[in-house]
Amino acid sequence: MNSEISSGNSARRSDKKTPQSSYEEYLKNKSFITVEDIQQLKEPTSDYLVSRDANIFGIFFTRFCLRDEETNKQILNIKLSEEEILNYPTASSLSTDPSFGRFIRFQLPPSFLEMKHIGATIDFKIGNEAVKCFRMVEKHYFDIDPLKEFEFLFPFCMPNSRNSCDQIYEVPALQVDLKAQMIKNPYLTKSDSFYFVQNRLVMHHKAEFDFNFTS
Amino acid sequence: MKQKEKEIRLLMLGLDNAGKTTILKKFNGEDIHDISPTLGFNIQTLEHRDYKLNIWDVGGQKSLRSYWRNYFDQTDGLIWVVDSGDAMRLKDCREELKSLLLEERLAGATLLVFANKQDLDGALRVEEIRLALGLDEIQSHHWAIHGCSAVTGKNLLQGMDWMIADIASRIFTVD
Repeated sequence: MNSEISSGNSARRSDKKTPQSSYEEYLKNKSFITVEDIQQLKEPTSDYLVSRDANIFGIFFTRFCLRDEETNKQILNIKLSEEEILNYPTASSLSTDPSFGRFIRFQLPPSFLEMKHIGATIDFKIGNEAVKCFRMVEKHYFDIDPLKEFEFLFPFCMPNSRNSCDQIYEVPALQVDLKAQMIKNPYLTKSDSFYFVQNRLVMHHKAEFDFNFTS
Repeated sequence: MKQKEKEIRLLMLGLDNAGKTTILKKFNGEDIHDISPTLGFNIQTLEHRDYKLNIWDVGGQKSLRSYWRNYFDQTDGLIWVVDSGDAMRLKDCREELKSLLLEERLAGATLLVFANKQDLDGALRVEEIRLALGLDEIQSHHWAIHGCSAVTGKNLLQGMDWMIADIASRIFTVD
Protein backbone atom coordinates (compact mmCIF):
# COMPACT_ATOMS: atom_id res chain seq x y z
CA MET A 1 0.00 0.00 0.00
CA ASN A 2 0.95 3.58 -0.41
CA SER A 3 1.65 6.34 1.97
CA GLU A 4 3.47 9.56 1.63
CA ILE A 5 5.21 11.24 4.50
CA SER A 6 5.03 14.94 3.90
CA SER A 7 8.25 16.79 3.39
CA GLY A 8 7.26 20.18 2.07
CA ASN A 9 3.48 20.25 2.02
CA SER A 10 2.02 20.77 5.41
CA ALA A 11 -1.43 19.62 6.39
CA ARG A 12 -4.15 21.37 4.42
CA ARG A 13 -5.49 24.12 6.55
CA SER A 14 -9.03 25.22 6.40
CA ASP A 15 -9.49 28.98 6.29
CA LYS A 16 -13.03 28.99 7.56
CA LYS A 17 -13.43 30.41 11.05
CA THR A 18 -15.25 28.08 13.37
CA PRO A 19 -16.14 28.42 17.02
CA GLN A 20 -13.18 26.16 17.69
CA SER A 21 -10.61 28.63 16.33
CA SER A 22 -10.54 30.78 19.43
CA TYR A 23 -10.37 27.71 21.66
CA GLU A 24 -7.34 26.51 19.70
CA GLU A 25 -5.69 29.90 20.17
CA TYR A 26 -6.38 29.66 23.87
CA LEU A 27 -4.82 26.18 24.00
CA LYS A 28 -1.74 27.24 22.08
CA ASN A 29 -1.12 29.96 24.65
CA LYS A 30 -1.43 27.67 27.65
CA SER A 31 1.83 26.65 29.30
CA PHE A 32 0.81 23.04 28.72
CA ILE A 33 -2.18 21.23 27.25
CA THR A 34 -3.85 18.32 29.07
CA VAL A 35 -6.02 15.38 28.00
CA GLU A 36 -9.01 17.22 29.45
CA ASP A 37 -8.29 20.20 27.18
CA ILE A 38 -8.16 17.94 24.13
CA GLN A 39 -11.42 16.24 25.06
CA GLN A 40 -13.20 19.53 24.26
CA LEU A 41 -12.13 19.46 20.61
CA LYS A 42 -14.99 18.53 18.30
CA GLU A 43 -13.39 18.98 14.88
CA PRO A 44 -9.91 18.73 13.36
CA THR A 45 -7.58 21.46 14.52
CA SER A 46 -6.52 24.02 11.95
CA ASP A 47 -2.90 23.77 13.05
CA TYR A 48 -0.60 21.78 15.32
CA LEU A 49 -1.25 22.64 18.96
CA VAL A 50 2.38 22.21 20.00
CA SER A 51 5.65 22.84 18.21
CA ARG A 52 7.96 19.97 17.40
CA ASP A 53 10.20 21.19 20.25
CA ALA A 54 7.59 20.12 22.78
CA ASN A 55 8.77 16.53 22.29
CA ILE A 56 11.44 16.83 24.99
CA PHE A 57 11.47 13.07 25.54
CA GLY A 58 12.76 12.32 22.06
CA ILE A 59 9.88 9.95 21.32
CA PHE A 60 9.50 8.85 17.73
CA PHE A 61 7.66 6.15 15.85
CA THR A 62 9.67 3.67 13.86
CA ARG A 63 6.92 1.44 12.48
CA PHE A 64 3.19 1.53 11.87
CA CYS A 65 1.39 -1.50 10.59
CA LEU A 66 -2.30 -2.20 9.99
CA ARG A 67 -4.01 -5.50 9.28
CA ASP A 68 -7.49 -6.83 8.82
CA GLU A 69 -7.98 -8.88 11.97
CA GLU A 70 -10.56 -11.20 10.35
CA THR A 71 -8.33 -12.28 7.44
CA ASN A 72 -4.97 -11.48 9.06
CA LYS A 73 -4.06 -9.68 5.84
CA GLN A 74 -1.62 -6.80 6.09
CA ILE A 75 -3.04 -3.52 4.82
CA LEU A 76 -0.20 -1.18 5.52
CA ASN A 77 3.38 -1.43 6.79
CA ILE A 78 5.40 1.74 7.15
CA LYS A 79 8.80 1.26 8.63
CA LEU A 80 11.92 3.34 9.13
CA SER A 81 15.14 1.55 8.21
CA GLU A 82 17.81 1.11 10.90
CA GLU A 83 19.77 3.89 9.23
CA GLU A 84 16.76 6.21 9.26
CA ILE A 85 16.18 5.39 12.93
CA LEU A 86 19.79 6.24 13.71
CA ASN A 87 19.62 9.52 11.82
CA TYR A 88 16.14 10.53 12.89
CA PRO A 89 16.95 12.74 15.90
CA THR A 90 19.48 14.73 13.86
CA ALA A 91 17.25 14.96 10.79
CA SER A 92 14.40 16.08 12.99
CA SER A 93 16.38 18.80 14.74
CA LEU A 94 17.79 20.09 11.45
CA SER A 95 14.46 20.23 9.64
CA THR A 96 12.61 23.54 9.63
CA ASP A 97 9.43 21.97 8.22
CA PRO A 98 6.75 22.23 10.94
CA SER A 99 5.21 19.01 9.57
CA PHE A 100 8.41 16.96 9.64
CA GLY A 101 7.64 13.49 10.93
CA ARG A 102 4.13 14.38 11.99
CA PHE A 103 1.94 14.58 8.93
CA ILE A 104 1.07 11.59 6.83
CA ARG A 105 -1.35 10.77 4.03
CA PHE A 106 -2.66 7.23 3.85
CA GLN A 107 -3.97 5.58 0.72
CA LEU A 108 -6.21 2.69 1.60
CA PRO A 109 -8.58 0.45 -0.37
CA PRO A 110 -12.35 1.07 -0.15
CA SER A 111 -12.65 -2.31 1.57
CA PHE A 112 -10.87 -0.77 4.57
CA LEU A 113 -14.17 0.88 5.48
CA GLU A 114 -15.85 -2.52 5.78
CA MET A 115 -13.40 -3.93 8.31
CA LYS A 116 -14.76 -4.53 11.79
CA HIS A 117 -11.56 -5.29 13.66
CA ILE A 118 -8.25 -3.76 12.78
CA GLY A 119 -4.95 -4.90 14.23
CA ALA A 120 -2.49 -2.06 14.62
CA THR A 121 1.19 -2.37 15.51
CA ILE A 122 3.27 0.61 16.46
CA ASP A 123 6.96 0.57 17.31
CA PHE A 124 8.52 3.57 18.98
CA LYS A 125 11.75 4.73 20.45
CA ILE A 126 12.33 6.69 23.64
CA GLY A 127 15.15 9.17 24.34
CA ASN A 128 17.61 9.28 27.21
CA GLU A 129 15.04 9.67 29.95
CA ALA A 130 12.38 7.30 31.21
CA VAL A 131 8.85 8.23 30.17
CA LYS A 132 6.01 7.83 32.62
CA CYS A 133 2.37 7.69 31.65
CA PHE A 134 2.70 7.91 27.87
CA ARG A 135 -0.81 8.29 26.51
CA MET A 136 -2.35 8.77 23.08
CA VAL A 137 -5.75 10.17 22.24
CA GLU A 138 -6.52 9.96 18.54
CA LYS A 139 -9.58 11.61 17.06
CA HIS A 140 -10.90 10.77 13.60
CA TYR A 141 -13.19 13.01 11.58
CA PHE A 142 -14.90 13.20 8.25
CA ASP A 143 -14.68 16.87 7.32
CA ILE A 144 -15.68 18.41 10.64
CA ASP A 145 -17.77 15.52 11.97
CA PRO A 146 -16.27 13.23 14.62
CA LEU A 147 -16.12 9.55 13.58
CA LYS A 148 -14.30 7.70 16.35
CA GLU A 149 -11.56 7.91 18.92
CA PHE A 150 -8.70 5.59 19.80
CA GLU A 151 -6.49 5.51 22.86
CA PHE A 152 -3.52 3.81 24.36
CA LEU A 153 -1.66 4.24 27.64
CA PHE A 154 1.77 2.96 28.65
CA PRO A 155 2.50 3.54 32.33
CA PHE A 156 6.26 3.33 31.87
CA CYS A 157 8.85 3.31 29.07
CA MET A 158 12.52 2.70 29.84
CA PRO A 159 15.16 5.22 28.83
CA ASN A 160 16.64 4.54 25.38
CA SER A 161 14.12 1.79 24.88
CA ARG A 162 12.52 0.45 21.74
CA ASN A 163 9.00 -0.68 22.34
CA SER A 164 6.28 -2.31 20.37
CA CYS A 165 2.54 -2.49 20.89
CA ASP A 166 0.05 -4.55 18.98
CA GLN A 167 -3.60 -3.88 19.66
CA ILE A 168 -6.91 -4.88 18.16
CA TYR A 169 -9.28 -1.99 17.60
CA GLU A 170 -12.98 -2.38 17.10
CA VAL A 171 -14.18 -0.12 14.32
CA PRO A 172 -17.68 1.30 14.66
CA ALA A 173 -19.94 0.54 11.70
CA LEU A 174 -20.35 3.53 9.39
CA GLN A 175 -23.51 4.53 7.52
CA VAL A 176 -23.55 3.58 3.84
CA ASP A 177 -23.95 7.22 2.75
CA LEU A 178 -21.06 8.32 4.89
CA LYS A 179 -18.80 5.61 3.50
CA ALA A 180 -19.67 6.71 -0.04
CA GLN A 181 -18.80 10.31 0.87
CA MET A 182 -15.51 9.25 2.40
CA ILE A 183 -14.54 7.38 -0.76
CA LYS A 184 -15.66 10.23 -2.98
CA ASN A 185 -13.66 12.85 -1.08
CA PRO A 186 -10.02 11.86 -0.74
CA TYR A 187 -8.22 13.32 2.27
CA LEU A 188 -11.36 14.82 3.78
CA THR A 189 -11.17 12.03 6.36
CA LYS A 190 -8.64 13.23 8.89
CA SER A 191 -7.19 12.46 12.26
CA ASP A 192 -5.47 14.32 15.06
CA SER A 193 -3.23 12.21 17.28
CA PHE A 194 -2.35 13.77 20.59
CA TYR A 195 0.45 12.29 22.69
CA PHE A 196 0.84 13.08 26.36
CA VAL A 197 3.49 12.39 28.94
CA GLN A 198 2.13 12.72 32.47
CA ASN A 199 -0.85 14.57 31.10
CA ARG A 200 1.12 17.19 29.15
CA LEU A 201 0.83 17.33 25.40
CA VAL A 202 4.25 16.59 23.91
CA MET A 203 3.37 15.65 20.32
CA HIS A 204 0.57 16.34 17.87
CA HIS A 205 0.41 14.35 14.64
CA LYS A 206 -2.00 14.73 11.77
CA ALA A 207 -3.12 12.29 9.10
CA GLU A 208 -5.39 12.36 6.07
CA PHE A 209 -6.99 9.37 4.38
CA ASP A 210 -7.89 8.42 0.85
CA PHE A 211 -9.99 5.28 0.40
CA ASN A 212 -9.58 4.84 -3.36
CA PHE A 213 -6.43 2.82 -3.41
CA THR A 214 -6.52 -0.19 -5.71
CA SER A 215 -3.66 -2.64 -5.95
CA MET B 1 -16.31 -9.95 37.93
CA LYS B 2 -13.42 -7.77 36.87
CA GLN B 3 -14.45 -6.60 33.45
CA LYS B 4 -17.16 -7.34 30.95
CA GLU B 5 -14.87 -8.54 28.18
CA LYS B 6 -12.88 -10.79 30.51
CA GLU B 7 -9.56 -9.17 30.08
CA ILE B 8 -6.48 -10.91 31.44
CA ARG B 9 -3.14 -9.20 31.86
CA LEU B 10 -0.06 -11.38 31.64
CA LEU B 11 3.50 -10.29 32.37
CA MET B 12 6.28 -12.29 30.73
CA LEU B 13 9.72 -12.05 32.33
CA GLY B 14 12.94 -14.05 32.46
CA LEU B 15 16.65 -13.66 31.83
CA ASP B 16 17.78 -12.30 28.47
CA ASN B 17 17.83 -14.80 25.62
CA ALA B 18 15.25 -17.04 27.35
CA GLY B 19 12.92 -16.75 24.34
CA LYS B 20 10.16 -14.50 25.69
CA THR B 21 9.56 -12.58 22.50
CA THR B 22 9.76 -15.74 20.40
CA ILE B 23 7.09 -17.34 22.61
CA LEU B 24 4.90 -14.27 22.21
CA LYS B 25 5.24 -14.19 18.42
CA LYS B 26 4.84 -17.93 17.98
CA PHE B 27 1.75 -17.98 20.20
CA ASN B 28 0.31 -15.20 18.06
CA GLY B 29 1.11 -17.06 14.84
CA GLU B 30 3.73 -14.58 13.68
CA ASP B 31 7.04 -15.05 11.95
CA ILE B 32 9.81 -15.82 14.47
CA HIS B 33 12.84 -15.14 12.31
CA ASP B 34 14.86 -11.98 12.91
CA ILE B 35 13.88 -11.48 16.52
CA SER B 36 16.38 -9.20 18.19
CA PRO B 37 16.92 -8.64 21.92
CA THR B 38 14.07 -6.66 23.45
CA LEU B 39 15.34 -3.27 24.62
CA GLY B 40 12.07 -2.19 26.14
CA PHE B 41 8.69 -3.95 25.94
CA ASN B 42 6.44 -5.69 23.44
CA ILE B 43 2.73 -5.65 24.09
CA GLN B 44 0.38 -8.01 22.35
CA THR B 45 -3.35 -8.07 22.72
CA LEU B 46 -5.09 -11.13 21.42
CA GLU B 47 -8.38 -12.95 21.70
CA HIS B 48 -8.07 -16.45 23.07
CA ARG B 49 -10.95 -18.70 24.12
CA ASP B 50 -13.33 -15.85 24.93
CA TYR B 51 -10.66 -13.94 26.80
CA LYS B 52 -8.86 -10.83 25.77
CA LEU B 53 -5.23 -11.43 26.66
CA ASN B 54 -2.99 -8.47 27.20
CA ILE B 55 0.55 -9.82 27.23
CA TRP B 56 3.52 -7.69 28.26
CA ASP B 57 6.92 -9.03 27.26
CA VAL B 58 9.67 -7.00 28.94
CA GLY B 59 13.37 -7.19 28.06
CA GLY B 60 15.49 -9.39 30.35
CA GLN B 61 18.99 -7.99 30.02
CA LYS B 62 20.65 -7.36 33.36
CA SER B 63 20.59 -3.57 32.89
CA LEU B 64 16.83 -3.65 32.29
CA ARG B 65 15.77 -5.84 35.20
CA SER B 66 15.59 -2.95 37.66
CA TYR B 67 12.77 -1.57 35.48
CA TRP B 68 10.63 -4.72 35.73
CA ARG B 69 8.86 -3.40 38.82
CA ASN B 70 7.28 -0.68 36.69
CA TYR B 71 5.19 -3.36 34.98
CA PHE B 72 3.84 -5.28 37.99
CA ASP B 73 0.54 -3.45 38.48
CA GLN B 74 -2.63 -5.37 37.69
CA THR B 75 -0.79 -8.50 36.63
CA ASP B 76 -3.07 -11.55 36.69
CA GLY B 77 -0.42 -13.99 35.61
CA LEU B 78 3.37 -14.06 35.57
CA ILE B 79 5.03 -16.13 32.84
CA TRP B 80 8.61 -16.90 33.81
CA VAL B 81 10.61 -18.08 30.82
CA VAL B 82 13.71 -20.23 31.31
CA ASP B 83 16.33 -21.15 28.71
CA SER B 84 16.60 -24.90 29.37
CA GLY B 85 19.93 -24.95 27.55
CA ASP B 86 21.53 -22.39 29.85
CA ALA B 87 22.56 -24.46 32.88
CA MET B 88 25.22 -21.89 33.75
CA ARG B 89 22.72 -19.20 34.66
CA LEU B 90 20.10 -21.28 36.48
CA LYS B 91 21.22 -19.91 39.83
CA ASP B 92 20.80 -16.37 38.55
CA CYS B 93 17.44 -17.39 37.16
CA ARG B 94 16.35 -18.82 40.50
CA GLU B 95 17.37 -15.67 42.39
CA GLU B 96 15.51 -13.35 40.02
CA LEU B 97 12.36 -15.43 40.23
CA LYS B 98 12.61 -15.64 44.00
CA SER B 99 12.74 -11.86 44.38
CA LEU B 100 9.75 -11.43 42.04
CA LEU B 101 7.67 -13.77 44.17
CA LEU B 102 8.27 -11.51 47.16
CA GLU B 103 6.76 -8.54 45.35
CA GLU B 104 3.53 -7.42 46.91
CA ARG B 105 2.04 -6.30 43.62
CA LEU B 106 2.52 -9.79 42.18
CA ALA B 107 1.14 -11.50 45.25
CA GLY B 108 -2.12 -12.50 43.62
CA ALA B 109 -0.65 -13.59 40.30
CA THR B 110 -0.60 -17.12 38.94
CA LEU B 111 2.90 -18.30 38.01
CA LEU B 112 3.58 -20.25 34.83
CA VAL B 113 7.17 -21.36 34.30
CA PHE B 114 8.01 -22.17 30.70
CA ALA B 115 11.08 -24.42 30.44
CA ASN B 116 11.78 -23.23 26.92
CA LYS B 117 14.09 -24.62 24.23
CA GLN B 118 13.20 -28.25 24.98
CA ASP B 119 13.95 -28.90 21.30
CA LEU B 120 17.69 -28.28 21.91
CA ASP B 121 20.08 -31.19 22.32
CA GLY B 122 21.32 -31.17 25.87
CA ALA B 123 18.41 -29.11 27.20
CA LEU B 124 17.71 -29.72 30.86
CA ARG B 125 14.58 -31.72 31.50
CA VAL B 126 11.54 -30.08 33.08
CA GLU B 127 12.11 -31.98 36.34
CA GLU B 128 15.69 -30.73 36.54
CA ILE B 129 14.57 -27.14 36.13
CA ARG B 130 11.81 -27.57 38.65
CA LEU B 131 14.43 -28.68 41.18
CA ALA B 132 17.03 -26.08 40.24
CA LEU B 133 14.54 -23.24 40.61
CA GLY B 134 13.20 -24.64 43.87
CA LEU B 135 9.65 -24.44 42.60
CA ASP B 136 8.32 -26.96 45.11
CA GLU B 137 9.07 -24.50 47.89
CA ILE B 138 6.62 -21.97 46.48
CA GLN B 139 3.52 -21.68 48.62
CA SER B 140 2.60 -18.09 47.94
CA HIS B 141 1.40 -18.56 44.36
CA HIS B 142 -0.49 -21.03 42.22
CA TRP B 143 2.22 -22.35 39.91
CA ALA B 144 2.98 -24.88 37.20
CA ILE B 145 5.94 -25.67 35.00
CA HIS B 146 5.60 -26.67 31.36
CA GLY B 147 8.39 -27.71 29.04
CA CYS B 148 8.02 -26.02 25.69
CA SER B 149 9.68 -24.98 22.48
CA ALA B 150 8.98 -21.52 21.15
CA VAL B 151 10.52 -22.56 17.83
CA THR B 152 8.26 -25.54 17.19
CA GLY B 153 5.40 -24.16 19.26
CA LYS B 154 5.21 -27.36 21.29
CA ASN B 155 3.26 -27.05 24.56
CA LEU B 156 2.80 -23.28 24.34
CA LEU B 157 -0.94 -23.68 24.11
CA GLN B 158 -1.11 -26.18 26.98
CA GLY B 159 0.86 -23.87 29.24
CA MET B 160 -1.22 -20.82 28.38
CA ASP B 161 -4.47 -22.73 28.77
CA TRP B 162 -3.46 -23.94 32.21
CA MET B 163 -2.64 -20.38 33.23
CA ILE B 164 -5.83 -18.89 31.85
CA ALA B 165 -7.95 -21.57 33.50
CA ASP B 166 -6.25 -20.92 36.83
CA ILE B 167 -6.70 -17.15 36.56
CA ALA B 168 -10.28 -17.47 35.38
CA SER B 169 -11.18 -19.69 38.31
CA ARG B 170 -9.93 -16.98 40.65
CA ILE B 171 -11.22 -13.78 39.10
CA PHE B 172 -14.20 -14.63 36.92
CA THR B 173 -16.06 -16.77 39.39
CA VAL B 174 -19.19 -14.60 39.45
CA ASP B 175 -20.53 -15.85 36.12
